[in-house]
Amino acid sequence: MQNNLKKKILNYDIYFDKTGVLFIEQTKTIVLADLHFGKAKSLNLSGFQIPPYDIKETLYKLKKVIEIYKPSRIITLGDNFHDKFSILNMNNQEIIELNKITETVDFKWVTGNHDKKLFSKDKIGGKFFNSFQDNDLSFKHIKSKNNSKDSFEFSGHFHPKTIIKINNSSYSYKCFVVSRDFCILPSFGHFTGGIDVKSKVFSDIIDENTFLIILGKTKIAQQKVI
Amino acid sequence: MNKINLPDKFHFFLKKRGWTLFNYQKDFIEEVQNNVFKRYLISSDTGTGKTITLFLPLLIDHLEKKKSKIIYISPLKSIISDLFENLNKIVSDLNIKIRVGKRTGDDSYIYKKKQIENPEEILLTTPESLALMITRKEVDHIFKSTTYLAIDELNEIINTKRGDQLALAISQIINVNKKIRIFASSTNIQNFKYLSNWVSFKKKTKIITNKLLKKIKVDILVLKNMPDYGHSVDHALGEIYDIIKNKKTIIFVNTRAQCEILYKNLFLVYPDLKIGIYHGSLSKNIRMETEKKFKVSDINCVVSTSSLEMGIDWKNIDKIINIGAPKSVNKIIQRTGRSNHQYNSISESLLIPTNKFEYLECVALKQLIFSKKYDRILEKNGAKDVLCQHLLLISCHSSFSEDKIYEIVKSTFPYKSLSKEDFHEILSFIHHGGYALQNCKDIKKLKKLNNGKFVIKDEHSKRNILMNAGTIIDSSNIKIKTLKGKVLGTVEESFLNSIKEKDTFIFAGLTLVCLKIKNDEIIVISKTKKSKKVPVYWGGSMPLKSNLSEEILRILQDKKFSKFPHEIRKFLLKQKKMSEIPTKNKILIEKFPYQSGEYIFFHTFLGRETNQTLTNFLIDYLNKKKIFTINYILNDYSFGLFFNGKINIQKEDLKFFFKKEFNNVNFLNTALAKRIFKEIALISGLVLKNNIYTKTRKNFINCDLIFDTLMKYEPNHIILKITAEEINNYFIQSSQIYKIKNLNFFFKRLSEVSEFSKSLIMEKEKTKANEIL
Repeated sequence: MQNNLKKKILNYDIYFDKTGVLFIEQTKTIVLADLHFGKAKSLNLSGFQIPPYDIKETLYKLKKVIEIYKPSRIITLGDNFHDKFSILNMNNQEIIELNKITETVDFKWVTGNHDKKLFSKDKIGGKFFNSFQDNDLSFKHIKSKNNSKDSFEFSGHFHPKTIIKINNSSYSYKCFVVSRDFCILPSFGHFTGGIDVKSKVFSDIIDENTFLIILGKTKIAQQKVI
Repeated sequence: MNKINLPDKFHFFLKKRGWTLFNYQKDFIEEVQNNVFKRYLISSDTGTGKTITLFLPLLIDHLEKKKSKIIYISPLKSIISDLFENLNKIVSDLNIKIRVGKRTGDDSYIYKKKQIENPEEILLTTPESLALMITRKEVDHIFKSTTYLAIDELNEIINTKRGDQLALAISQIINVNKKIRIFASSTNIQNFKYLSNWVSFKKKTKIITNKLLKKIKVDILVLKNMPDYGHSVDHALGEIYDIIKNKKTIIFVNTRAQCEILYKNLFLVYPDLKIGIYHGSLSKNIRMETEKKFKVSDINCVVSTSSLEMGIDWKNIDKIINIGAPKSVNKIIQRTGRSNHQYNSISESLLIPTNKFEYLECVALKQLIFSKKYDRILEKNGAKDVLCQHLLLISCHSSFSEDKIYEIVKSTFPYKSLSKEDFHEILSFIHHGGYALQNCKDIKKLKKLNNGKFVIKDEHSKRNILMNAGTIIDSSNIKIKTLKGKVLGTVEESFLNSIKEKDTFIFAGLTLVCLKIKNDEIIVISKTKKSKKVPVYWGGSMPLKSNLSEEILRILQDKKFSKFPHEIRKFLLKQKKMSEIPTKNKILIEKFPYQSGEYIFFHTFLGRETNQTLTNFLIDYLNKKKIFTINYILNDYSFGLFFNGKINIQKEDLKFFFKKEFNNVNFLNTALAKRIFKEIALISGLVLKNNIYTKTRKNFINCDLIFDTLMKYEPNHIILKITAEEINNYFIQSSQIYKIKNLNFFFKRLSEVSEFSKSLIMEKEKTKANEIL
């Protein structure tokens, strides 16, 4: 069982973890994208009786990752809450657990399209940013069209996944989309789906330098896209 | 002996048509006229006029100027349009004022609306449409004025989820109209008791049997060049041609892929033939065109899957050809009955086995027909996901109280032993999701009124429920379209995995080039150039029935195989000499080196489903022992696992697996569980296929993920309980896995491949045992 894949980007050692987060060793930072807290609740309201355990499961996964990497900083890349009522709809237990995490590490929320006009933001710890720059690393929700050449950009939003076909059945896996100057992270939240990297959305993003880091069940594999 | 009073007009009508009534039909009319019973079950062979019998009481009523109405329910939509025409003719011949109406998914909204205001005397419908009718208060008056409720081909749906749905719908109708009389028809099966109980709804059922059996003749074509493996009939094309060139024939095959390939091959070799193709994936237009052509003899042979087994009454069919293994006795009787669809003629069919195993199956089948050992329909309890849907549906009609509905539901046979606790749990689930988590008030679909009754929450929930009603989870939703936009038919989603742009494949008898794959469409262009590369698609494969597999093993006990033709005898003797022949309670396990590794083969004769399940568990079990399977192959009779290099598996290991380990397997931890869960999630309304908010057909959330979440956080949730029940049910109905506990086995170490194993190794594409990532 392989848990992560180490890569050198600029001068940083970066671990791509099988849960979909990445860890930057030099700055002791965990980066993760698209938590979508409260997605189940939001769907419940539109008639889906799906089990309302997404927040619990996402927090559980997050705590596990923290135990392993012991970060001093966590940066989220937006779409942290599924809709503007999500914090209101969280129960006390969930808020207490989330704040335990935001208190122990330097927690930076980069906000995304889902996080606009959030109600009761003040209930949650950590600091909110539109985007965040740390020396030559930048953190955004949606990948910018023209990134400045000297920096490397981390973003989320697209929930990349890839589909592998074996024996007439297909398996889909979440993946990182990595290129020379950017990396798009897979979604971390429970119940968050994905978009196939072969779909139109990615056609402007993927070029000959792009590769995928695929998160399999037992292995993490690197693969060229084109 | 049968003296019944029939109106003169009716006698005249029979004479004019050249018909005479069977004794069973007279019995039925008499019984209905005596009015002692409220429920009737008619059993008779295919092609003996069962369907029309159901209408006789109504026709006679009207000739005698008594007003009565009937609702007729058929599991097949295709029967209905045919029957509609037939009944209209009969009614006009009899010169009585009855209107015939139908109500199916194909009929227009406006027509259905008018029908509610002014219902016809005869209403033809399907279980699905009936289930929607009970959601509307304004339909109640139709049920109130109905005299008879007729269910055709009950044996086809009795132990399916559609049957459960129908039983529940009927219980609601009886609640509205206690006087309604119920007729049901069935072909001959072994256990009538089940059917008569099902029809009873707490009243006594009168069984009316046609003792006059239809004469059928079944032959097996044995050719010297019968292949050892595969499912191709190329070796018999000449023989087929000789039959079909001047006889009206239907050729039945088992899978749609076989259907396409045979059609294409016949057409290539004998371009002078007038043949057509018919299977469930083809669009309605194409199927109707074929029907029409066959009726007017533009074509005189149709290659078809099971779709043509029932319903459409095609006259003057001389012969039935059945390619491949038959899988079930009733199926072949049904198919054979298609020819000479009149009572006094002999129906003939020819079985053409495509390999030696299939030959054995054909012989076993002939034996069973000869000794009149029909299939047993296995009883099952009503599926609870269907009950979830039913409760949602009736909450759209009006508010209901828990106790009252519980009593009504219990009056149906499938749900007779439903406990009050289970019912309460199901109601809680559809009321508010049934999750232990406290703050789940938002999940509500029903609202509880002050008087304790339940009713649908709002108009939006109602529309969602009605849009998602139904118990058939149709996986074939990828449209095959031409450039001009004509829909040729639909295929399963899994077909997309085996095809890419510019590939050619055959469909609807055409060679097609795939131009573009959109989300749920494959755009194609027809091509005349021959192409060898034919990605085919499966679907429509049927489980091997338990009585048939036992019979095969029984006939294999003949020591010298003297009754078999030469080629088969040689094949069996060689197998016996090299290895062994399995018996009823003893499966054969063979271990032998093959290329760079070793194979372990299990000759179980227990059907594909059982073999698949055993394969999955065995691979898991061996993985735990650090023995890794590379790939596997399986079919109805056997399965084999392939390993790299030499492996150390002893008889004792396997014995431990079958006797101990297998009994402790948690079936919820299997891929099968996820498949069954998905179906339950859709039927019970846990997830919605069609949502008025999003208007997309895609599910929001992967069902597997929901399953895993429930397993982790709420393992006792009602939906998981239902899943466990349905897995069990699935094993009982379509696989023979319950036999495993009592099995023993021969364990043979061989130095080379045995005859039995060879045919499977040659035939099948191997499947990778473990995910590569």
